[in-house]
Amino acid sequence: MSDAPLFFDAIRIFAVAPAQFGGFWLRMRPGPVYDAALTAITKSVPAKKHRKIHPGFGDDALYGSLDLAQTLADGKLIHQKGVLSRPGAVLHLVMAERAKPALAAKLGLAVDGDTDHTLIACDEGAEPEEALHPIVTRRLAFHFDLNEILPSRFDLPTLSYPAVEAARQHLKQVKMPVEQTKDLVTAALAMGITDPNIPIFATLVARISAAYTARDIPNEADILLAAKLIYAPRAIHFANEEPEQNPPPQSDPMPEDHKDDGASGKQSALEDKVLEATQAVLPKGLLACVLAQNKMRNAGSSDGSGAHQIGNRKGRPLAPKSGRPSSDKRIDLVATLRRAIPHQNTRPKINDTALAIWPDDLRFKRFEARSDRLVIFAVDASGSAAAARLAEAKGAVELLLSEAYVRRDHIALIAFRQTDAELLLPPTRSIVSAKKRLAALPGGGGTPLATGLKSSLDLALSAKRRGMTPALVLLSDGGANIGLDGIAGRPQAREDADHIAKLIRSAQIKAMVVDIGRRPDAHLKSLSTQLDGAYIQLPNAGAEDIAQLVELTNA
Amino acid sequence: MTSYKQAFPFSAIVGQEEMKRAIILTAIDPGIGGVLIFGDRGTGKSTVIRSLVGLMPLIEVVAGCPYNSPTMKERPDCAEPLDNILVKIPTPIVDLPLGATEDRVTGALDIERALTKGEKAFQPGLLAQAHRGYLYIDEVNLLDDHIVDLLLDVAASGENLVEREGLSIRHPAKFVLVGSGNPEEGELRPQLLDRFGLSVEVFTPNSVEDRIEIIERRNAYESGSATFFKRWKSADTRLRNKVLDARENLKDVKLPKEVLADCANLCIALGSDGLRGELTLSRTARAYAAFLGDQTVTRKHLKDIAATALRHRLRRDPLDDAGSTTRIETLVADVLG
Repeated sequence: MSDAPLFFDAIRIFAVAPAQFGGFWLRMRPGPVYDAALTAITKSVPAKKHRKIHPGFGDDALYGSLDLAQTLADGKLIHQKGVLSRPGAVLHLVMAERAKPALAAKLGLAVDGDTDHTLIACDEGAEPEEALHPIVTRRLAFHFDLNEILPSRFDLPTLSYPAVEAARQHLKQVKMPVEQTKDLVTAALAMGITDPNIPIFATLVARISAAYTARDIPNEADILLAAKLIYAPRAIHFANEEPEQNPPPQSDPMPEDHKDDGASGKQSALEDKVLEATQAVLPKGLLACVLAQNKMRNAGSSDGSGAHQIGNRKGRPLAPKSGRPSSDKRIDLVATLRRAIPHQNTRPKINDTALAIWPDDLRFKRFEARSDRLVIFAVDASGSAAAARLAEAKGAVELLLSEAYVRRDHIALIAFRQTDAELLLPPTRSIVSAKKRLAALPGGGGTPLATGLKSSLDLALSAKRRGMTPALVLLSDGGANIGLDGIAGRPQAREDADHIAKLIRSAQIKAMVVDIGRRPDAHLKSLSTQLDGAYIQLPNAGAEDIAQLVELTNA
Repeated sequence: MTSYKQAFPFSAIVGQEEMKRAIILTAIDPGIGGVLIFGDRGTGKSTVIRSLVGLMPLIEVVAGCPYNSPTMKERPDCAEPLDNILVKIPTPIVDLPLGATEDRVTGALDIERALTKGEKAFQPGLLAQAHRGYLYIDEVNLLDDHIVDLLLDVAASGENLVEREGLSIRHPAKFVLVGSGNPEEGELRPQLLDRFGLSVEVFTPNSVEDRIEIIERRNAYESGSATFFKRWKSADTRLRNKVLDARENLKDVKLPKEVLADCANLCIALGSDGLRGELTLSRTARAYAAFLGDQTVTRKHLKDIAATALRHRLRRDPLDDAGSTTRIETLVADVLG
């Protein structure tokens, strides 16, 4: 999507006002290009302190803290500085795709705040959905994907510092006329870029570009450069595409566009060029990237699900453990004292009253928090399903139930038929009652798929609030024909089901779809995509395959 | 480049009138409770909060007091002895980082002193820092639930009670809690939603003119333009005086029975649980009337602020795309005519 000259332009522009641009978001794997790009960026801001950080950085490393070990050893207070303590640092975040949302938010604040920090985030994710959280990326002006670039073609010229300094001096005089701002803003809207901060980056790029040639007003080339650098990686769609096919996500800028076109034809000429320039540098798999942006939320913000986790906050207490002190650990005072007291006679005294506690004595609290899993089975008991393979579905569920029993998972059973969904079995660990209810499950009536999904969602959410990790298994033969309002009608029923599926996905509930119909159902398949879960067809899969898939979904 | 030192002036923020109004109302009457701001990225949520530093009046505190105590008498028992010197500081605006631990929020045993001096002392946390000011949480929906619970609890009671590691500490912590978030990232539990006093939805401005204005003002701000600061600083000063006047007049604003009946009717029609809806509604209407310089709360005041005070108390309907704002507006039109 981008070549060396464009990347060098970005560095040239960035060097003039690093703090105002926030920084770079680079998608690339380690290699010669990686090294060349990083060296170039580092050299562009020689005056600043460069610090390397990684996703495992805790608060004490970021903000600084008391160096407990050293303090104890020396008997006086020793503070250690964090990377964010001194303003104006350039942070190099490696393996950015692994940064948790909490770290991402902190870095976002650091870049955004009044501390002049700059962030160079290197995203080494292999898949598009493995990426840094948007909380940070939206605050970084320059986005580059350098994965596709051959090292031989990535030859960066040397930056001339006097030129940078001259541009910095001249920047104050560069004023952007309102018409140009308007072009940039309109172009952003036309490309589906709704964040108002993005055009601010673009205007700054154009002004700096003008400052390099000592002009007081940016010209067309400056504006186009701004579009290439700032808009191209973010564009969602283009004005010359059919707006009906690709509606902008939040707002509909089209009416605005038409209004402007009517007002002045001349401006839109430049605007068109901005669009063209952006298009020229566009990557091929743009849509995939955009989709990945949305998908990423699932990957990025998964909040510590999983069967159990050892932490130091809550849960069943475990034996205290020694370790390096950090701000996110809690000292177990009693255990620490118990450890220190026997050695008091042999240790040099600090003063008469204080105990001599050495760093080795420190013990930290540990807890094991178990988040129970809940597998929700939403079973289609409509007439068609009953006729088809309800018995087989029951068999599969029974197998899953025994699986769940072994793992001490909670299970819940929801059946939907006619116009509503019934919670046959509230979350329980009782395998016996589950089997009984399942056997007694009657069949017949329409297929209120949306209602079934909605009940499952409600149940999953309430389970989540109680600290469980829900997963959803939908067994159906498709053919949704009852809407959420209980009124028959296929299009509405499907639309409702899709809508709820989106809600389930956005609630980050893992889900899978088991088609129990005779023939694969297209809608069910698309539903599984909406749910971001697996789709399997029962006739082609034995009950054991299903059990394995559930395992996968839950893993 | 280092022009960030001065916060962006509050008055210079383009649009987002509802958000600004909600913040001003809580400045007039902190008892309204917190403000919840939900909206897209880049809609000026953080900017509004940061700009409060320039808008809010200076407060008088005992010099060096970590609890922002206004006088020596009002200092909590746990506080270290200090000289009786009063200084003026800006209203505290405390940013709560997402990764903040409970220790950091409530305060905890001062390990530093415990280990080096053998003393048991309390190290105040962010709650103490935010006393008499604002506590801002960006991405509140990503914050651990137990921390949000704790914050809302302290915000409601105005007092922080710490019982841990052999400490038993109580200190005042009155602050306005401002939470912001993006609903796409996850929702807040309804129990928590209900405990925020006001809530606003913010959207990215759609008009090209507004967007241009944003960029122009932003550029003026970043280049440190003197005329820009002069113009908006004086606007901020006028607004501050208005807020201070409103605070004075607040207790004299009359709240007639009919208006209270309207409040009750609205909340009944809404089917909101508990009485928080009515309480917030009447308090907010009163603060709003005081802000406008009116002596009596009228139905018009109520109408203007109803959506802000009630939006988040609606029962959630996952299929309702129209959004709670439209629903509230229809309801207000039905009940109040």
